[in-house]
Amino acid sequence: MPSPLGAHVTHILLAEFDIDKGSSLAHQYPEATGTDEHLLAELMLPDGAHLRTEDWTVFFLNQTIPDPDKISIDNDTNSGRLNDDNNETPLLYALNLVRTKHVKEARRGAIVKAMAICTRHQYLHIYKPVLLIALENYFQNPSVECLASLYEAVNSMNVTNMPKFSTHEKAILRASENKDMFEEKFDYENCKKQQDNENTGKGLGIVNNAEGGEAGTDNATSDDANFKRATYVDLIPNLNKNKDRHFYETKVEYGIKLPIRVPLTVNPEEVGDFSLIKLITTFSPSSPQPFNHAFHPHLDSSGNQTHPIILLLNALLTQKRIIFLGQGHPSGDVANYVLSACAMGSGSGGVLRGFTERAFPYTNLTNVDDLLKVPGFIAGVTNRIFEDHSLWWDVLCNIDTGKITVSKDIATPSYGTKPDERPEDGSRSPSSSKTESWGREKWDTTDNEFMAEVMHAIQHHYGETTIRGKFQEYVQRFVRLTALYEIEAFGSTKIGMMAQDTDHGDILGTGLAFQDENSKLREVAANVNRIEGWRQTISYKYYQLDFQNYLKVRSIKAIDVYHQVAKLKNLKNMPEEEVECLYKAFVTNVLTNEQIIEFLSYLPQNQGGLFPIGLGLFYPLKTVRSYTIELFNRINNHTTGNKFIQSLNFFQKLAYERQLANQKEKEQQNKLAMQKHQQMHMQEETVNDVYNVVVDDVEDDDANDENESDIG
Amino acid sequence: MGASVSKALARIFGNKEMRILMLGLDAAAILYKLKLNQSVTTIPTVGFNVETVTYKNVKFNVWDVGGQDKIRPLWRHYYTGTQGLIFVVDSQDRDRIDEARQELHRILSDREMKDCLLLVFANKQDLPGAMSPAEVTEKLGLHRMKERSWYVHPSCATTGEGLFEGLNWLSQNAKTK
Repeated sequence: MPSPLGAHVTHILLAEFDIDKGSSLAHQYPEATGTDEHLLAELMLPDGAHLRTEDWTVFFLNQTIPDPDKISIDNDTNSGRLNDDNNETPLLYALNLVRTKHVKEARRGAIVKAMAICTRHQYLHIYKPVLLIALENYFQNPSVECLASLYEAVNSMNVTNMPKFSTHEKAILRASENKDMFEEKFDYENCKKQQDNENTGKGLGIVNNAEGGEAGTDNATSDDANFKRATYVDLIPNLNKNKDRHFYETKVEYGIKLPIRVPLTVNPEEVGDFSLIKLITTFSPSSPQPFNHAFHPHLDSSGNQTHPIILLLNALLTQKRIIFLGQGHPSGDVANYVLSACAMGSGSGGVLRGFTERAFPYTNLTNVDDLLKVPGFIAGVTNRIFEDHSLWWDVLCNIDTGKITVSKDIATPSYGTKPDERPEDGSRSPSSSKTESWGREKWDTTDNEFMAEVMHAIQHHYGETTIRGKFQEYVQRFVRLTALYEIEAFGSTKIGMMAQDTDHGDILGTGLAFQDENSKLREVAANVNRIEGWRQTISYKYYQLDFQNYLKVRSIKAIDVYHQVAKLKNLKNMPEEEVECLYKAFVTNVLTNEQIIEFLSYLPQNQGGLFPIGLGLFYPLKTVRSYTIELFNRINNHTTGNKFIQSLNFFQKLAYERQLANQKEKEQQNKLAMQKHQQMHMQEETVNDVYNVVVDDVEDDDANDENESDIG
Repeated sequence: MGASVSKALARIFGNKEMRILMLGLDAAAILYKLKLNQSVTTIPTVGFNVETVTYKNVKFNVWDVGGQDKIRPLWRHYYTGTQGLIFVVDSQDRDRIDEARQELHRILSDREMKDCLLLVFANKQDLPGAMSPAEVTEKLGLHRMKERSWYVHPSCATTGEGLFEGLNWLSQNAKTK
């Protein structure tokens, strides 16, 4: 791998607290980051660092204030996200450890030092163990060599064989609990492992052979690997069994070997090892109190009964200035809330972007002037003076009290009406129905149901992945709803599939699936305020770019797979012709490896996997059943698809196997019939016997099918 | 209703709350002496300390903000809503008293600090050669402040002498809201 200096870690920083001079930066290795030294020192030595023995914190470098006017399709030839790699000053994530040691000999009894690792990797938490050791070393021996050796160690981490997953593959892997999903992508690693074993275990002869012929290295190694596989055949499978393929295992050698697990399923806006569940539980009161701030159209999507988490999510979506305050807390605490909030707003990092570039996981007064220039910042602070400056923020989340406050100085958009002030409500007597109807008719968002579902999942110990999945789904739905709104209101959209983007748009449709026209209009109407709020934001502009790019690169161009799956999941009484057309479209458009992967990514395993498609196995129309079988056969022959078929629910799996068997038998039977014609008069009686038996079986099964399809 | 009753009671019994900004060397030592009534060897403060001290029915929210040159520009963020400034002077350090005077006048000239009370602790009175409160008053140019109520009190952070007298003056001169 071409490893330019600092492939993993770009800078190592060291800061100290000087009694006379205050926070000061002692070293930057290998070169200056370009960020103001005083600011770096202030961020590395967070407020109250002297009160605790250690504090892990996170801050970002090279944040540029995005100019919404410059985000347009013309300026962005690449997919946007990839630009960072070529960028001279990419967004850097800094993981910082500060320690206070009480030392009798030291002036005023304590020494405070901090070390930070700056990296391009979002999974910066993998460096925690090594940073802990390195800072300890620095306390023992304060010299720049200490930084140099750490830099060397972390950058020589081997990730040559780390598989690179496409967006769709990542989505599949995230949604799957199957540890060996995409096992095949790790094959190279197996070879490599064997080679390592070989190199250490055996004589030099083979090694020389392998490395000797430079031109034919590829051949040599693969031959080598084959040869070794034979030798170690009984050892290797045990080594790799039960490895969780959501991670790539490697190591950093820094004095000792430190095992590192690189997470392979992080979405673009997920930074660090935060807990979304913690964010949700902190701000979900056990006995909900209605908000008493003045109604804000972007935030209060269910009036003053809006769930605090939904209010926060609305604030994130509509780009409000958000502060997480943890007075007296370690800075690492507030940082985790900020990182969780970024993930929540961006749909678990997988739908929208532009949140982390506006995030300040930990910041303090030193940086406040720059902070206030950033539109819709998301900042973590431990100084409660921020609370008093209500002009600085729109929404303040206090992590101690679990209370979310909307600033009295928040700007209110001129448009947007409070639903109970709408003229059509005039007919109802307002006093009697007011309390009753809140969250019911007038506030027609399904938010409260959604939050109840989330809380239920948390209480039943569902994991972080499940909860993140729910928020990804929620934000994705919000985006599709916005697309629908744009089509309804303006006739076209750049953020969602339109009928003309697909081949069968007029029959099969695109976008969200609704039971009827009424429920569609109701949902759009209930969301229109925050939709309008989001349409003015940076993340909306980015999404336009990303979606237009997706339209170009998608592998299934003929249909909107999402819409079809949604219909199968939610709609009752779809016309027969539509169902037939739908399954036919699947069969004719899901052919290549890429297409199968993309198709499967719309059927996440934690949401039932292939189940909605499998309904076709019981459909009354025979054509639909055979389309389903054909599609399933194709998926079953695909390495990843096979795992989906394996995890089908038992009922569907049996139905598939049985119908497949029938089909095969019928083929067999046809063959036999052919043979019968060819071998006229020969062994006529025996063949006839077999034939009769087969036909009886088939007829029985068909009868069963019909019964089952009624149930389905 | 309940709120107005308790407000009325507070007026009668003088349950006041005051926000205090404390600046200067050894402010942390003074703060913890007030808070815990024991001498703590304070390790250097990174950032700030904030504690609530209740004395004679007055709740003092005391902010002790670090004083290094580089972070002095940040003091202004603490001014809004501050009712009392405690300025701690090292009475022994004659070389830096002029610098202290300049800093003090700069703070008090801020619009947000217009109505703020000023309490100066002439600290380290236990050390030989310390300036007397009168001398500190003169060196800080307090006599020229006609509009402001100010008070200089001798103190000793290590023994706690003079500290509560200072708070007493603040509570008596605070305007009831």
